[in-house]
Amino acid sequence: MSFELIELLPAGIAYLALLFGIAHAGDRGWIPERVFRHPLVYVLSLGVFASAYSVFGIVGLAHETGYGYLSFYAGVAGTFLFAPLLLLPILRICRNFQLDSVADLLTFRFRSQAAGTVVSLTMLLAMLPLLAMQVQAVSETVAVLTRSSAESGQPVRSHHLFAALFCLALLVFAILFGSKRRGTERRHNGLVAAIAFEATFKLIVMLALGAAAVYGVFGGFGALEEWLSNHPEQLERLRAPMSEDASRSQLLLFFSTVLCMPHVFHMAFAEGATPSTMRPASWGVSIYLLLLSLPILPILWAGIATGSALPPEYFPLALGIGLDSPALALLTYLVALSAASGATIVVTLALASMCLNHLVLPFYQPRSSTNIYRWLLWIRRLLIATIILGAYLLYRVLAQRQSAIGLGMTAYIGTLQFVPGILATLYWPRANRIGLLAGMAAGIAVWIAVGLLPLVSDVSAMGMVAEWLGNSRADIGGAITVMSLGLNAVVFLVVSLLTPISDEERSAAEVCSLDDLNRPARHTLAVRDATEMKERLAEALGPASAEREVNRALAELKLSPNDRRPLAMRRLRNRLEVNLSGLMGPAVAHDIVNRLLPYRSGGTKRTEDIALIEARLERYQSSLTGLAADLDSLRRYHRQTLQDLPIGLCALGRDGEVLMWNQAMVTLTGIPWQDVVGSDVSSLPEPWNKLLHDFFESPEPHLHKARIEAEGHRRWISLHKTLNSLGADSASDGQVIVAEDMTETQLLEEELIHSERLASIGRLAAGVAHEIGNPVTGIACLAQNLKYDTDNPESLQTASEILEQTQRITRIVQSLVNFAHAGVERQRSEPEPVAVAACADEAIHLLTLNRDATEVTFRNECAADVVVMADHQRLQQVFINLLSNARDASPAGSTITVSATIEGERAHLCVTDQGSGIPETYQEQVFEPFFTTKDPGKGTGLGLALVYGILDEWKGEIFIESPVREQGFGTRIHLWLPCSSVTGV
Amino acid sequence: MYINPTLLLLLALMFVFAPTIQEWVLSGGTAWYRPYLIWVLMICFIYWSQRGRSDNEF
Repeated sequence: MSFELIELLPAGIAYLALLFGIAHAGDRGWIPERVFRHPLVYVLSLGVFASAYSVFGIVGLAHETGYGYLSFYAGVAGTFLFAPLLLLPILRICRNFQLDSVADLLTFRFRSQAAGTVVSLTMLLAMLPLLAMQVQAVSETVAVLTRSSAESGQPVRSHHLFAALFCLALLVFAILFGSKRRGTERRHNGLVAAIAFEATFKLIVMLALGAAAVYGVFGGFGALEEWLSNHPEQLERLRAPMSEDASRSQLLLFFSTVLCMPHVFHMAFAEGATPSTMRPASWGVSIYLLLLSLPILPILWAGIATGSALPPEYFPLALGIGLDSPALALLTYLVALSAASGATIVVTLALASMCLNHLVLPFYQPRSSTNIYRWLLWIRRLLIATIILGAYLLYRVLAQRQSAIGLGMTAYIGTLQFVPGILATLYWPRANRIGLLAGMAAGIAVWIAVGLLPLVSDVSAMGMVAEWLGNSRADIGGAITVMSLGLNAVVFLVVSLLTPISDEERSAAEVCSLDDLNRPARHTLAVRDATEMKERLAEALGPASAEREVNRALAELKLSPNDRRPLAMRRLRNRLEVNLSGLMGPAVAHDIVNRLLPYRSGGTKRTEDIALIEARLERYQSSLTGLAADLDSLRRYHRQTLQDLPIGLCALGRDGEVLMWNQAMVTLTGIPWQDVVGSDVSSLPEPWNKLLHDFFESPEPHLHKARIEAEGHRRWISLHKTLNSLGADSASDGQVIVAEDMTETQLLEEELIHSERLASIGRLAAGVAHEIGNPVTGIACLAQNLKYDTDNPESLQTASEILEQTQRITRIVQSLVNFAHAGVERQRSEPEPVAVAACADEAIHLLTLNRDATEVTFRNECAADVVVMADHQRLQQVFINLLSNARDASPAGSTITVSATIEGERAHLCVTDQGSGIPETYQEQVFEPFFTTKDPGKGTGLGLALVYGILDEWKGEIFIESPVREQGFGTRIHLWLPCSSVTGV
Repeated sequence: MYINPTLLLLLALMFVFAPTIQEWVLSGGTAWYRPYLIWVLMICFIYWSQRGRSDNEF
């Protein structure tokens, strides 16, 4: 059975078109987002690990090493098994700092662009053979299927034309679906969809091949067992023990695949993976790989049983040919195409990103006038094209010379050289960049000499060593692994221990380390706000890109563009570095941010960033156990206690940054904690800014009743510093300030003083009334006598005037006595129901008796049913005082109206005049005793004070409206008194 | 750093029983699938150790 190229080509094109369609659907959002967040899709996307090697090479490996082939799967499954130790920490770093590749990770950790460059170059060297292997696998599959039966005994020849077409198709796919800028989820949905589909297809076809092998070739599991018992040499070969070194190094090789191979790393960490998708993957990936590996042995034995002339690598193809099933052969061809295309696309994309970030951008950056996004896109596309072209050329060079196993092994060993660096990133903060570079240089040199050179050249300096190392390929691979990795690790260790580590590296190491004991320091930025950041960044990115990046960071952090808090600026700077790292690689991003947004140099002692430590503790809360969890609970308890204190508390750093602002402080100042925590104390709104800043700067431990004007009200605040702020504990950071609102106390005190003053006036008045009353009575009697004793008109006139003046004195004295009774002795007569209208009538009647006063009209509009709880005599006095005041202020001929209505449980009484009104400045003072605006001799200034005192006693209220709203002039006095339950008195 | 105790248990079990498991696998006769049985057991074990863990644990 053989195929024509013209038959295979349409099938291949149809499959790739389907892949394009799925990717397009993913990109367009036709597939719901939740599908991409599902752990199953994540597991399937990791199926990219199973490249063409897992279809062909693995059968050859099983033939050669027996059960040894399982290490290919067990390695990766094992890595996921230990996900909490290895993968989740790396995922945390990659997600937090937007790192997409091993080169990014090592550059970030070791703060060394050289590390990134070396890793990228090595990766390129190691991966090009692997890419060439994918092309070769596809090309040889086509060659096997298209050759005639006459050629069946001949070695398999490649099919270059098909290989070229395959490369072209992949190039188009990678450019269309992988080079675009990723969305907010940090994921190329189209790519993920295509890879997940490809993995599903691969699994289904492999299981179908296994079933065909068992049932088609042997006739069932029983027959397979029978065949095996008849061929004990196959079982013997299966269980032939590999050399210890070889098996261990092979397991290590595959164990590190997830960490080191760019395509697996890319799908595992860079395409929107989250801890919640990775956790189920720790067993999900195992299930996938188990199912994928299950058919390998039946396929191998089927190939042997059918006596296929093809090498064992091509037994999956031989199955279809042997069973004379074109469908099966076509499916095998498609699965090879699928596996090879998936791996090639992702490897190419990952390599292109790495080359861009570590081989292009560190050495050349576009001018700021260029649109940086477009520029990056085109450079990435160019790199993708170059890499695929390189893979094709290498395939042409290597074709026919190397087997798939050899190529695959070489690639794996090359990437293994990054393992020491990755492990040190997580577990060894002491490691430094010199050690890393020295170790990698040693390991890579060995790998190139012993592993890579023999691939491309027949002359190998180490060829003899390789021969000496062992006979089987696995043995040689194992020996190269041990040699290169061992040397790498030893050099890394020794050089790191012998050379110093920079501060920058140390802080990056602390960020990456799992046992992070880092106490982050608080720095202040030289820039003040987001606008200034945009201006600075425009130097490197151009104004449009700088604007876009800063706005994006602000949106992600949910910060206002006007936020000027140092904490907000620090967070914005960190986010910008992370986002730029995703765009241009960590080294370039770090360089740009350090250069354009530097921290203010100098400053005082290193201060800890409490806000950051707290945020981190909040994030890790659920993973704290034992003592750490207890301490965290204690921390929460103390924090809550401080938060709930009924007294205002704010903690300030040594540099004046607000670190804590409790609930009482929020109530006291009206400033939400979100606006103030992280900002400088001097940037608080007035008047708190001056109050707190001055107290913070002053050496005084207490500030009593500082008077401030807040929101139009006078307030009194007392401030205290806690003991540690006073230098008792020199290790303490900053100050803790306690703020008490003394306003109520102050007002009470003032009221008390006022009452005291009133009381003394009352006592004085009573005394004066008593003392003056007697002589005045005497004078009046004498004047009266004088009137009777003389007929002299002048004397009579004088006597009358004396009498008049004594009556005036008596009135004044009577007012004083009344005031003294109201203000001091408070005749505690029980209030009784009083009809307001009648009372007002009486008061009006009494006032009209005074013929000397201004001619005004009184109108009583009180509702007849308004009855209040009061004392008749004193309510009448209230009316007389208010009405006579109103009359004195009114022009002749005007009207004074008294009205009373019921409002709920209170009566609302109004006395309205049409007079000159009371100026606003006097309105608060008119109730003070002896305050009057009348001419001297006309008023005592006690009338309204008396009214106020009486109403206060009855739990009533008084309010002045001047000018009257609807008139625009005059005064209206409002009184509220409790209503009586009795009506119609 | 938080290490899942069940993982440590698994490692300890693998270490202790490695020779026994190896012997069992190699003495399987025509039961070539014995390594897969061990693999299935491990998957069950990991699944069991993972259930009920919250998502934000690193």
